[in-house]
Formats: sequence, structure tokens, C-alpha cells
Amino acid sequence: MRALLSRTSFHARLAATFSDPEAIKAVLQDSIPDFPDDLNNWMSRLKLLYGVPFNYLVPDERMLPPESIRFFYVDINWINAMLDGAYSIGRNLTTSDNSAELNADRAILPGLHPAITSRAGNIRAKGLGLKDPAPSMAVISGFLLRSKVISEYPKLGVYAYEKGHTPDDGANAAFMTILRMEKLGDKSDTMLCLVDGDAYRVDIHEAPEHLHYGIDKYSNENGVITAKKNLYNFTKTGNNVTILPGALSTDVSACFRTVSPRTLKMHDLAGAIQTRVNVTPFDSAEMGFEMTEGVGLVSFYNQSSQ
Amino acid sequence: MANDNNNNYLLNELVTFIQHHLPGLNAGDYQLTVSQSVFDSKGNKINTDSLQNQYVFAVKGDRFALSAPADTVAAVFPEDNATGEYSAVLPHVLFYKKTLPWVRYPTLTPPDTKPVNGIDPDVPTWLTVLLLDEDDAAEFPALNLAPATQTVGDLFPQAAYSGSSLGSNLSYFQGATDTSELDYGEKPTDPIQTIDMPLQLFWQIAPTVDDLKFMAHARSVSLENKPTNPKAAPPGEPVGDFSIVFGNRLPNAQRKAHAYLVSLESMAPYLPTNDGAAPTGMQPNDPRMIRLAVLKHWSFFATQDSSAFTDQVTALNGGPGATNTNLRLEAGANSGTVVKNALNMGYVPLNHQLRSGEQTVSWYRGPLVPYPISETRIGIPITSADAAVIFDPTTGMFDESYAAAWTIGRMLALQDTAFSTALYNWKKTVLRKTVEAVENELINEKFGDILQIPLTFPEKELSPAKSLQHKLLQQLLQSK
Repeated sequence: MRALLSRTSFHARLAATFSDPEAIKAVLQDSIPDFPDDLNNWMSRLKLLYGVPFNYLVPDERMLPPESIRFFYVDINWINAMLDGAYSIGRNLTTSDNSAELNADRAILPGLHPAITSRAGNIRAKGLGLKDPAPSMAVISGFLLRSKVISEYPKLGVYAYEKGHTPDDGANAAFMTILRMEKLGDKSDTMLCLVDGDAYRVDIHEAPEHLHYGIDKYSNENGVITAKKNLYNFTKTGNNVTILPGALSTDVSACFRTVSPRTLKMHDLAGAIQTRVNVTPFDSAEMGFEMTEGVGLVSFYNQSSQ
Repeated sequence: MANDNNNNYLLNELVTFIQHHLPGLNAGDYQLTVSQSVFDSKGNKINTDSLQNQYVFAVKGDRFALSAPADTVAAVFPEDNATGEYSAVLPHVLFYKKTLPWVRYPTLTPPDTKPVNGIDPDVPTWLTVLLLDEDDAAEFPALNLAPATQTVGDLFPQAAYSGSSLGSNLSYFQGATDTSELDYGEKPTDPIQTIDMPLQLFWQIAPTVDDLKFMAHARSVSLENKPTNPKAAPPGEPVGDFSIVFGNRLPNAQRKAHAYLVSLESMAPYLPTNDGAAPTGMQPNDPRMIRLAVLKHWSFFATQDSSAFTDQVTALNGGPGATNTNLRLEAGANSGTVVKNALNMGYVPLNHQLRSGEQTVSWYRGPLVPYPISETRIGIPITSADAAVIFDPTTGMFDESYAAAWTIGRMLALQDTAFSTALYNWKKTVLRKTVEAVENELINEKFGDILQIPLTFPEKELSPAKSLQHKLLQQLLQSK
């Protein structure tokens, strides 16, 4: 057998195979071992820039001054270079462009990218316990927000829309998938948000559960109270509420106690509101809804969006 | 807006308002009695002694203090120590526990919760937010705005608890002769926060039972578009249930407002009339005070100038009409075209120490660039960091961006030994598989004809050499 199959021919064949990534792929075919899950996780987190020092993301502080929001696109070349750097463990650093290890990586790494990408797209959804959104991740955009609102409104929310899919586009409106949204540290005033696709419009709003209660206008001139409350005009079918356009301005001046002019007679106020919006039954849920002062929402447009 | 357990539709909505979440059992002590009688076939009772057993159990609920404030109160509004345009805001407290506002009741008897014509009646809450400020303290000198640290025993008249400091004032246990009204696990020595309010002031600002029916509700909100909490694993739930109690008094502008979350359990006899007068059966000029348990106290300042959310966010980038909203440095007026272009593309010049020890300035750009870049411009894999350096002959400067990217990737991998070891082992497996595959291929070429004969062994478990040996042996046996 030794005569039939010499070591030399084996070595020659090995050398030939390792000199060409295509040959490696051809010889391995289906027998490439599965990329372990924990490695895939690690790489997918790196793809979303987890663990990358902040000064690598924003090399000059003047790029993100205090009280600013800055849009960006993720440079896929940079990401790929970084992923390759991580994957280069165990590779000898040579000037040769044709070493066996390099060719092996050349044959394997591109095949790992789809799995890394699809895992990266699900990190946030998994954390929230949502169904896999399967984002395409062809383009990743996002913004950095540095402001005291980050620490003052820790539960603020973000909606991102593509051009042609904003709420102004009626039925075409669709939220974009948020890939990562995090404060950069506990006490940080900076938030990083990565979105799947080219974000054209970003709405930043207060947390919906942080809606607050109140009226719209109150003044007390020498004991004469002028108070207004803008009510939502809505109709109710079963559990679904449809808010009609236009607020119902209502004079609620009579709903204050004479002995304590800033104290509301809640039961009277509830009656006044029910009369105005004409909804039955009117319980504490409707009351809570009407007393809500809408959450603030501010839209930003990305000037570079195409 | 009634109770609905189907949460799916919430995922697409901002918030759902819910009238109330009533607890299965209100907090308190309960006694369960089980008795059994045995009869013969003629209907005569056989057992003479009554077969019965008694069980005592308690449903515990916060009463005079919050046992775990951080796990109970999700948020207060306005925030503690906040300053802002709050003069038309009713302060509120947001609770994680969705049943908390209804586990007790302000009335002496449990409220009726049976639906009338299919509609749930409103149930008054036992919690309310009272709002006081320095003007109230000036009008009623007996009022101390800071809550006092006392014990549960101080809520009892002296006849019931000799150590009580209540004196002739009113509190929750008026007329009690012992402390038996305390629930399981509550002791007269438990520390609590209290506030003593003159009845005259209390009647002016306290809500009526009818008011309390409208001052608490529950909300379900989608948490899908919120920042995740990196410390929690899993970081969050897609839908959150909260309950809310809000106050009935607007803050005084330009005054520090003190908000108190107080218990009004069984306080119905002392609550004022709709217009804030003394209730029936009480003297309108009663000089006594009423002592309330304070479950939470915070303060804020209502100004006239605006620092609300929308104003703060609109003011970002120096207000609307900002010229630069993308992540890049702005070029100075005197910069040359080359520098201007580079800065507009998101590059920044950074000091660069060369390997030879020289100092130079090189361009660097991070992964976040101000315009879309899609084409793949670098060859992967990169042989070494130096291979990713781009030299710009027109300026004579290096672009170190991708070299830095490759290096930080490698460094992050090396820093995590669990990852780097596992990756190294995996790559070794790939190399070994390749060598095996080459060997297999070679053997197949040389001995392919012989190997056509099917094997009884699963081929995968044998190395190519072993399987060849096996096959040869089989071949010999068959040819005999």
C-alpha cells in the first residue's frame, strides 16, 4: 500500500489544495463543520459594534457635541475588516498573500457571514422576546443622540421610517426594525441606535407609560379661574378606539373647588368630559385617557437619506 | 377599555387604558372553615361531633409603607427634584403592580364590584397623591411639610396603644381599643412615614370617594421601541402592565411642591364634600389634625419657563434648521478643498506614531459614516494590519481606518479568551477536516474501483485509511 500511495503525492496534493481557496471549498464540500453557536453569537454582537470602544466610533468629540443628534450609515467595509480581524486568531501574520491559513479563512469566512448577519438581526428581538424579524441588513443606518434627555427620560422611545414609509405616507407607513438601541453606559448621556435600512425620518418620543395627566391651560386672576382642557374626540367600537382629528376644547373652569382653587372636583370633571365627548360608559379608563396630555414627539430627518 | 387578556393586538399599539385590575382577594386576614356532616341512607345524621377544620391565612399587601419601593413604584411624574413647566400637570405615580390601587378601599365596607348591565362599576382607589407647598404651610402653621418618621402604633389612639403620639387627632383606627385591626405580619413598632394635616386643609384638598373612582386606572404599553436594559436578561418584555394613581390638585407656580402618596384606607367618614366642606357629622371648624401614612414623598418645582421633553429635543443640534445633522466634523471656513472633502466624508485627522518612531498625521474614519457606502472595497481576509492601510498619493497621507478596524477586531477577540480559544479550536478542526478530505480524495482516486462495494459500517465514523483497510479486507473475503 505504501508503494501505491506515497507520502509525496499526498503532500503535493495538500499543497495544491491549500494554495487555492476554491480547491479547499471543492474538497470540503458539505463536510465543513458547523460554526459553533457561541462563536456565531460573539461575531454577531461584534457586527453590531458591541464592545467596540466609543472613541473608535466617534474619534473626535466635536463630531457629537452635547445636545446633538447625528445620523450615520454603517460602513460595511469597516465591519468586515473588524470581523476579519477577530476571525484572524490563529493566523500567522505574514506578508504572503497565499499562505495555507489565509486560504482556508478565505474559503470559510464568507460562508459564515450570512449566519452572523441573521443572528445579529435578531439580537434585540430575542432580548425582547419577539418573533424573529428577519431584517435584510443590506444597509444599516442609525443615529447617536447625546443629550440630557437620555438621562432625564430613560424610557424615551424611537420610531424610524424609510423614505416613502413615514406616517405621512398613509397606508405605506411602516416602522423599521431597530437592531440595537442602548445607552452607552449607566450614567451616560449618549444613546446609540442602529436601524435596518436607510432611516429617513426618526421620531423621538416620551415613553407612552410616562404620559402625564393634566389640563392645558390654567390661570387664576384675582379668584377668577380660567381653565381649558383639550379633549380627544374619539369613538369606541368594542375595545378599539378611533381618535378623530381635531381636539375638543372644553372649559373646565367650574370644576375647581371654591375653597381651594387649584383642587379639581374629579367627579364633576369626569361628568363634564363625558358630556363633551359623548361616550358611554365613561369609566376610569376613559377618564385616564382624556386626562392624558399627549407624549411629546419630535421628528428628525436624515439629510443624507436617499 | 374593559379587561382583556388578549395581548397580541397591543404589539402594534402605543398604549391601552384599562379601567382597573381588581385583585382576587383584597389584602387582609382570612379564615377558611371546612365542615363535613355524614348521614345514613335514611337521612339521619351519623356524626355527633361536628367534623370541621379552620384555616387562617392572610393576603399581604403594602398598607402603611411600601415594603419594596424600587419594585413597586416604576416612576413618578414630575420626577423627584425636577424643575419644569408643570403648572397644569396633575402629579402621578406609576406602579409595576397592576392591582395595587385596588387591593384596599377608602370605604368602610368593600366596594361593589359586580357588573351592572355588563359594565364594571368604577372602584375607588385607596391611594391618592396630595400636593402641598409653602403657601399651605404659611396658612396653616401647624402643618409640617416634611413627613415624620413614626411607627404604625402612632396611628392608634392611646387607648389602643399606650405608646402612641396621636393624642386627640384623627387617624385610621379611630375608636379602636386594641391593635387587632393590624393585618398578619404588621407590628405597632414597624417604622412608617406620616404627615399630620389640619382637618381644615385636608377637607379643602382631599378627594371624595366619587372622585377616587376616577383617579386610578391601569395601562398596558408596548415596550418594543424602548431602549433595552443591558443589565437585565432577558432585557425586557414586549408588553408591560402598569397601574397609575394621579392627584387632583395643580401645583403652585414658582413654589416647591411636595407630593405625598398617602393611604386613604377606611377614611370615607373624614373625606370632604364635593366642594371641599366638612363631611356630615363633623364640626366645620374642627381644629384637630388628621394623621396619614405617607407611602412615598417627593418634591418638584413648577416654573413658567419651559423645559419639557419636546422643547429639549427640538433644541438638539441648536434648534431646527441645523446645517449638520450627520456624524462628521465641520470644516472651518479656511480649510482647503482636500481637507473639506475628507471631513465631509467623515474622516478626522489624528496623530499617528509610525513604527519607525516618526510622528505624522493620518486620516481615520470609524464604522459610522455620514453617507451610505455599500460597495465592498477591501479584500478579505486581510493579511496584516499594514495591508489595510490606504495611501493617498495626492496628500501623502495614510488612511488608517480599515487597519484600525482589523486591529480592534483582533484585539477584542484576543481579550475574550473563551472566544479566541474556541475559535482557534474550531479552525483547527476545519484544517483537519480539509487534510482528511484531501486524503480521502486521493484514496478514492487510486482505489475508487475497489471502494464501490457498499460498506456495512457507517463510513463517516472511520478515517479514510481505516475504511480502506476495512474495504480491502472485505474485498479479499469476498473474492475467496
